[in-house]
Amino acid sequence: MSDNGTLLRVSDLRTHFHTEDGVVKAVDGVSFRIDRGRTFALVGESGCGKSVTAFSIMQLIPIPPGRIVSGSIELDGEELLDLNEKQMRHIRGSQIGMIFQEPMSSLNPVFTCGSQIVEAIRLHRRISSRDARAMAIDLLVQVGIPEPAQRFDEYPHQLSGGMRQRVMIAMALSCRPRLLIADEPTTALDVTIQAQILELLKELQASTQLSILLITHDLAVVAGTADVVGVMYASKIVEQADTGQLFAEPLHPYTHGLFRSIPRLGEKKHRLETIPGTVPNPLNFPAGCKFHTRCHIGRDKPRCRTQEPTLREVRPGHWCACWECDRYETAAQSDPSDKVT
Amino acid sequence: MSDLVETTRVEQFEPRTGRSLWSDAFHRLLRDKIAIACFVIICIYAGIAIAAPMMFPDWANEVDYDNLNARPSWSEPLGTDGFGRSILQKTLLGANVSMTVGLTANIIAIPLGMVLGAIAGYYGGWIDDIIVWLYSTLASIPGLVKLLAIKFAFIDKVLWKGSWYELDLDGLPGICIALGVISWIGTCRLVRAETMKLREMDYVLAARASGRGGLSILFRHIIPNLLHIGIINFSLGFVGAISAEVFLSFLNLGVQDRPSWGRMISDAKMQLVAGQWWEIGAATVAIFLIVLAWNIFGDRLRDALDPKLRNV
Repeated sequence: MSDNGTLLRVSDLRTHFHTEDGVVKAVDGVSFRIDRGRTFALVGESGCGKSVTAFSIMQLIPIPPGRIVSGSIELDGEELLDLNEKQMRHIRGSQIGMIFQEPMSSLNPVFTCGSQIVEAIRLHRRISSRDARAMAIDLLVQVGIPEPAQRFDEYPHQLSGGMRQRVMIAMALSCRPRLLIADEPTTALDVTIQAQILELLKELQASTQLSILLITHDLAVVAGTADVVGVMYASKIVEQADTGQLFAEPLHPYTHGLFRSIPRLGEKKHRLETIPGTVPNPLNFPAGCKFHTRCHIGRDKPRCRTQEPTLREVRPGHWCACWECDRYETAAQSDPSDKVT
Repeated sequence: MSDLVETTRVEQFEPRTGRSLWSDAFHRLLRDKIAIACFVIICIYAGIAIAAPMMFPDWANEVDYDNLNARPSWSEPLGTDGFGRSILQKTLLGANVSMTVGLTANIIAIPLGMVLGAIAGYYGGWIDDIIVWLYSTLASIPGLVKLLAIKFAFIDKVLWKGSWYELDLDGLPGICIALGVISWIGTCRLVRAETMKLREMDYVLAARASGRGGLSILFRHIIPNLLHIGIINFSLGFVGAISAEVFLSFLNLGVQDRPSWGRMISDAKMQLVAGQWWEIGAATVAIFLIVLAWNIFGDRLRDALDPKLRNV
């Protein structure tokens, strides 16, 4: 695929939540870029900050009141953090579309599906309601909904989960945004529908040069759709590489742990491996590398316990934030006794 | 058993067309014979309320001193009052006051409660604090005291005197306004709590993500989901307004220039001792029927409209 230039550039984004218990650094120095027509996936456990990253880009940070403390979010060279709320409203929907995890609750139950798409269209375009209706039906065709003219007048509760997610995609794409943020778009769907929705996103991407920020915890989804992957752990990106490279040769011990905790078909194992411990409390991150408490390599290394590693380019195009990642593979092979729980 | 299977099948394969919340509730109500009966009673009362003043414009002058406090008879089905006037006429005319008060007081109270509740719940913070303070303070004053205070403040007050939109606060309009401004609290509380729940819904977030903001989210996406609360409270509030009007009239603070059921009861309270039960009886039965009809209808309406009570 040819490189068409960068659409979105996020640099050193920090989003903090000021709670009664202290400051929660939900996103703490995240940087990445998304090229035109490409898909960037953010992967990580629940609570690692991937959704907050997405909402920071939209500037729709949920309550308790969170704030973007520093950083920069550039869409096509335009700094989004400098825009006021009114200008930002023009960006939302028309430049950046968003779809959500729960298709069951992301459509308003009292309006027909069609009227909700029409509303999204007419919010950013001055066209008559008849033209908008024609456009909406067209969109329903594009997202693969059968009998679109009839579905147009149906209410969300009359559609299945997969159908609703298609309607959501139609709504998000109604104004031809350049970036689509998909926040766990398939988590609530069953596996066959998941595959259909991902296939649909790929088709739409191919036909409209759409860039996608895909947020997920499902590595299988990443493998099938993303061009570049960022692995997030404890509010930071700890490893970033092209999908093929990351899957072939994960460098960070956390990524490695993620891969090993996927059950494989046909493999006979008594117990699935897990990463020991839990995600650290964001109110009280450990000193040094945030992963060292769960890491079989760095647990006892003084440097890992005291100094936080930064993202560095270990191989061309492969970035990793780990002191030990150069020696990691040899270490993992020679030391199989890493299953301490 | 076969019956059971049959019904389930019919339920499952209902036609897919036009099943919004509203049309669904409408069809439920149509199937509910008691609700229809109540609605018919309400419509009859409304019809009487409109027609009676045209039919008996002269009721006050039809005084018959030869026929005071006459028992019900063929010529006077409900007897006559202390001035020899027909009680049937008075009872029918009383519907006008009751229905006007019920309707107008709620037209003031329900939108007021809904808008204030929705704004409080949606914005939170100091706006919420002010509205909650307002209704907590109002709610802590007994209803009758509030009503009396407003009524006394309205004595001899006429707004925009002489113009066509003249508003006689001492008469019927004053009662409607007084009842309207004290009875929004329940609706407001309910709507506020519901709004707090709805504003966290994904579809509100989705609306934000597609570029909506501020008040337009409240009016486009939240209030349409609250309308059923307004309608249910309207039907239940009607009863409260009718009863309150009766009470005010009984205390001689209600309407003075036309017959109302409360005034009839007030006028007749001494006659009861003399065994003349017909005036008080007619008014009581008239009140009883409309209150019963509204109560049952309100209940059925809630069953039909509230998604949580479906299929219970």
